[in-house]
Amino acid sequence: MNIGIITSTLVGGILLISILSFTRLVNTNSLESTLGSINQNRLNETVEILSNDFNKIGFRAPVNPIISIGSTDFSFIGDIYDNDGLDTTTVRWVWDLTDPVLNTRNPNDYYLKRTGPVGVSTTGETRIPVSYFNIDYYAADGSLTTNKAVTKHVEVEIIIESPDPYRTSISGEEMYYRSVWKRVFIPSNLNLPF
Amino acid sequence: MNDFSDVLILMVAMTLFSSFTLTSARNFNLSSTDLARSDAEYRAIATAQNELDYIKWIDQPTKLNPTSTNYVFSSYPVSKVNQFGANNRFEEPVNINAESYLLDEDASIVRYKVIVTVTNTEYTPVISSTVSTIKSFAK
Repeated sequence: MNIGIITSTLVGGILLISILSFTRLVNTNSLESTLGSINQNRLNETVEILSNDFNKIGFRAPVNPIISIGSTDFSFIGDIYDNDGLDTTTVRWVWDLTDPVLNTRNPNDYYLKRTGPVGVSTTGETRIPVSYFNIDYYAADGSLTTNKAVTKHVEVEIIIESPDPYRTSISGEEMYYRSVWKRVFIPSNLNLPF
Repeated sequence: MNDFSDVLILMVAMTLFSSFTLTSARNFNLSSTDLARSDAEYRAIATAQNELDYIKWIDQPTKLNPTSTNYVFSSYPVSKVNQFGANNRFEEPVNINAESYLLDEDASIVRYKVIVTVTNTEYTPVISSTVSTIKSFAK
């Protein structure tokens, strides 16, 4: 056999494998960057809505504005948007583990549902795909509590994963871009009179 | 063309291709690192905001006076491990530093400026977020 043809085939093969590997790397990184940016935007928007709601707990509401507390289900009363034509309304945040998100590939996605004011004089439900949602409640002394009457601080944690995997390992494990956020709210109206 | 010149041309071509590949890979790696850093920075800001929320409820001006024995930041900086996820399966160590100083004082009011800095040392260079607030007390 011609040694030249063998050498060319070998070099060409190595080059082809290099190009294919590089293309795969570019695709993976590009997908990760895109999914990561989208994820961060989604988390930012969710945090914006949630922060506004939680800081308004009890605003223009009765003495104890909390209706019910749970690690994935929280209801309270407050005037969430001052000029929306609605006075105090009931707001509920629930991570519904009976309602998986079916239009994404991520099996960890379940809907985080917010029921409350959504526009001028209207209330409605907002659904956000979330991979983890947890709320802890604290009394004034900083101890964990399950008693809504003594709740003064509310700690919220959200994990949002990308709807599609950016990489699938050889073993078949799908990797999703993950963004995490955790914050303690000390709403003014829960802590009055000081 | 003879045999040896073919080899030389191939070597030059492969060197150029490798250089291009390495540059592209490095750029993609940088963008991934930036993405992860911006996530960490977002969490550092949330941690700093938590501190400000606690500071909001300080009820005595002496607690913000650095020369007072009641000074709330006398033990700062402090180290803390933020935990995330179900059963706290993710961890992130942060250093929190806070300080306050007298901004102004008159017959009716005293104001302190409070500065909180949260540093995540998991990354190189470290990620640092600083937030500040002004706390006023009526006399």
